[in-house]
Amino acid sequence: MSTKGKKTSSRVTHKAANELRSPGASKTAKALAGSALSQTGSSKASSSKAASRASGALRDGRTSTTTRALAGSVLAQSESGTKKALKGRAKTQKKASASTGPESAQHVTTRRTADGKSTRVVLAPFRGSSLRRDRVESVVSTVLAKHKKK
Amino acid sequence: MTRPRRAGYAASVFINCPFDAAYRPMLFAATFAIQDCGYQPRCAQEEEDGGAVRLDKIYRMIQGCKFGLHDISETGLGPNNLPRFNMPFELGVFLGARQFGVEDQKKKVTLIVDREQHRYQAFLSDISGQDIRSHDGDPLKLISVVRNWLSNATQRTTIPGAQAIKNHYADFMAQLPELCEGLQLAPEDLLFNEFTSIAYSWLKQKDKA
Repeated sequence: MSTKGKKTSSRVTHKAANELRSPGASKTAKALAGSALSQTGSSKASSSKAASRASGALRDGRTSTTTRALAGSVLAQSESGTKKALKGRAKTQKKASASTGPESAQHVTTRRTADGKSTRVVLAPFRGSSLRRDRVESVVSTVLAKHKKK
Repeated sequence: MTRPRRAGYAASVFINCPFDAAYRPMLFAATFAIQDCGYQPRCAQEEEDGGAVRLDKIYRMIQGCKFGLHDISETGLGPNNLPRFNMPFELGVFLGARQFGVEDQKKKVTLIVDREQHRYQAFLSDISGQDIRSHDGDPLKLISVVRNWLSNATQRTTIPGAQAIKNHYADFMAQLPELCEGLQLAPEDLLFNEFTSIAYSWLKQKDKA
């Protein structure tokens, strides 16, 4: 088996373990969880069968966020899956966005800083207001600067 | 300018509460606390599309949110002497989605708040056993309740402390009249989307400062 540089992260490992224990998890989710778990601490690439299953899961609009995370991890660790994954993800997001709006956008609420610590990220409102974003930012900046001086 | 980050299911909080003017300080306090914790507040007021069927809108919103904050404090009699059932009804839809939904829907987390700790037993005793907290009609207490709920429900280590959020909120509210003036808005007429947009920008810039 060929090798790749990435390993399953501890976050995905935790998700995979939960999914394997969950009696309600689908067959695909369990298979992906197994694949992701088997790559914890390993530099082996995902099998083409696992990559194909992961790609299918990402394309399916009904796939849960947990299964998506597992599929993403499996694909990221496959040799040829990166391009396919990006395509599949774009398609899935387009499909989901059409049915439920932009809420299916990425789940990003924490970010690693340069010193390795986590910091929380303020999320943009689900729906923008009639206010122009640059105008709001400019007014907020002015008021904050004024109060900082005080 | 960087692209704004939006939330997925696991970071969205559905707010089920009254929308009248008297409740606005509570709604805005809860909304601000959710944003400061790094979550995305969602509320039926964010969509003012008269063409959309209200119930469909609520279903869609509930489906898109893992967390649900339900305030049942204003279920008393309205001006026409009839009780207000909207909040308990939406709470029921949310609990139903958790009970009968599939996959992620089963992971829904609920917080029910009321004016007094055990008042619900007189009119909605079926919800005994759920996470029910009182806010005593105090926006600052609601901030603590919301923050502690989100902190306990997740493994995140990045949620600010209750006092820190209250301090941010006090600063923000003190500056809100000026912010509104700059945007040619009246603070008392702010829409939900306008409030979240201003709070988002303020929190983001405050973080950078």
